[in-house]
Amino acid sequence: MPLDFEIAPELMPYVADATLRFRYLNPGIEVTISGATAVIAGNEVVNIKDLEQQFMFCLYRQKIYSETLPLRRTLLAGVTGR
Amino acid sequence: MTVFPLRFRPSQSGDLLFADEAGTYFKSDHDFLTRYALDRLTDRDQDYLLRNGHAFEELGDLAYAGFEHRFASRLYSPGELDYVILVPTLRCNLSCGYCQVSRVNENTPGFDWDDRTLDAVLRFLDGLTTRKIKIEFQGGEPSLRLDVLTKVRELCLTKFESCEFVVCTNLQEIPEEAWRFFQLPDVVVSTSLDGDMLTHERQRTLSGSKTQAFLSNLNRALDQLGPDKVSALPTINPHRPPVARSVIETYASLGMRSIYLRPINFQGFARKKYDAAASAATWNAYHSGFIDDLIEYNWTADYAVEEYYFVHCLRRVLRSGHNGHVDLRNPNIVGYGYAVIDYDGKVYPTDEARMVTRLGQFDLSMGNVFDGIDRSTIDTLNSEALNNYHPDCVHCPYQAFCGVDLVDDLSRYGRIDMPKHLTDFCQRHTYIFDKIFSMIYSDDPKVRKSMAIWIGAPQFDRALARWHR
Repeated sequence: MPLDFEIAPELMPYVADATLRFRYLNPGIEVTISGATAVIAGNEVVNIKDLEQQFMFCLYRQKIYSETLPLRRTLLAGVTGR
Repeated sequence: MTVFPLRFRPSQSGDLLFADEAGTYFKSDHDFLTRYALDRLTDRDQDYLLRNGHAFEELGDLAYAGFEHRFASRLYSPGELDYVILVPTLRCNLSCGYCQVSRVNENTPGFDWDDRTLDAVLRFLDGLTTRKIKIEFQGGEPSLRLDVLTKVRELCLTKFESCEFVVCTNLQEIPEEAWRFFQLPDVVVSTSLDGDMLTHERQRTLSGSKTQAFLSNLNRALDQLGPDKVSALPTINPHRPPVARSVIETYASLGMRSIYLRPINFQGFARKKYDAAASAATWNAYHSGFIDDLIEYNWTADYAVEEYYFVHCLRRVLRSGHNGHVDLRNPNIVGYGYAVIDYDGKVYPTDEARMVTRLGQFDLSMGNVFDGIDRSTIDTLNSEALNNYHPDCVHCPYQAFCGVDLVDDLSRYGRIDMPKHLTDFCQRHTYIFDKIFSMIYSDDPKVRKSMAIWIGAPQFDRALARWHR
């Protein structure tokens, strides 16, 4: 049974990367993005609500990663002297 | 205010663990995650993050400098070469099915250092700039070459201010002159005891008389050298492990308080006999049960027992600077602070690298004692030995406590770019850190007692279970 849910506007810039990572972690699970709606379809053995949470985690992580990458580079340069 | 990037992971209890690259962690709930991810932090959130070193006001302020210091202290920086493993012979008087080092029968010629190799090794050691040295004699059975051990020790005593020698012996057939060597004040003995005596016999000695000979020598070592100079490691077959309680009681009865459980190594000749490739889940289940049994044992025992690697990982969570295990460092720069010299004079960055090379998978040698060190291959590997930018590890809250083991990846998969979560290394360490955090946040007095003992504290401080509610 497919599950669809809305994606918050501030997460939309990260949908493509998050979807790619979600598919990498969950091969065989289908994700379709239509506008601000994500549709996830899995087989019978997976808990579809768990997949929604996993997808949202991917979105959050991608946003955090992208927004903090310059800071992380500065930090690492600071501690390695490069 | 800027928040240092937080990674998160759901726990079995339904909450979320957050941690940063400096290894500071706390638990909170899904509402906090949403607020953090969507830039909707409340004043209370911001106050918590600022007060606990997770945020700063401006680049270079005290909070920023403090974070950088903690971050830097989490990273491993190799020192000068001061730890050398020497393999003067591959000959051994046991034939364990899973022998982790390639070995040959006791009477096989051609697998010992000859005079030329010994001279070159002594010149190599004499050329080191360190003032302290640790030499570990492995094999084969190194006590078969006591002449070499003696010459190496004599040179080291004249060359270095501080020396420690470890003889890794099977304690099977020990001549009196070897006992005299073991009794020297700078020599310690490391042996193998595969859990309980039944398992030891099944896996190693194969006969009752040999088991008795080993046990007799082990007891003599403990009596004459003392428990501080004797350590033992069990090698465990995850598919046929000994009962945890019997392992604990066997070691405790011998006065040994630290047990380093090691699964049969996938590398070396071991993999010809056992299916070790898909055993991470099996191993994790056994290890988790072992830790639970240790906690139960310690609750009433006069002298507590630890599992060495679990406690090592626990200490890496709670403190920085615990880089004493060659397989768990970040970055895991190999070939500088530590080296292995094989029976033929070839030099390797680790013992695992020696086995990978011997099996013909990759040549991970870094020169030899005759012509000198060549780190070109190893440095290529070292350039990938950092987990801070790994596309999987960047999202993992355990990244600061964890490490990388590229030689293990090469050995198992023939490559270093496997999806991390599919590797044995990641699966084993994710389990360990899950277990550690479940215990840090546990209210069970039995768990808290063992945790306190393992970190060397009178009590396990509840402040270590940090929450932002």
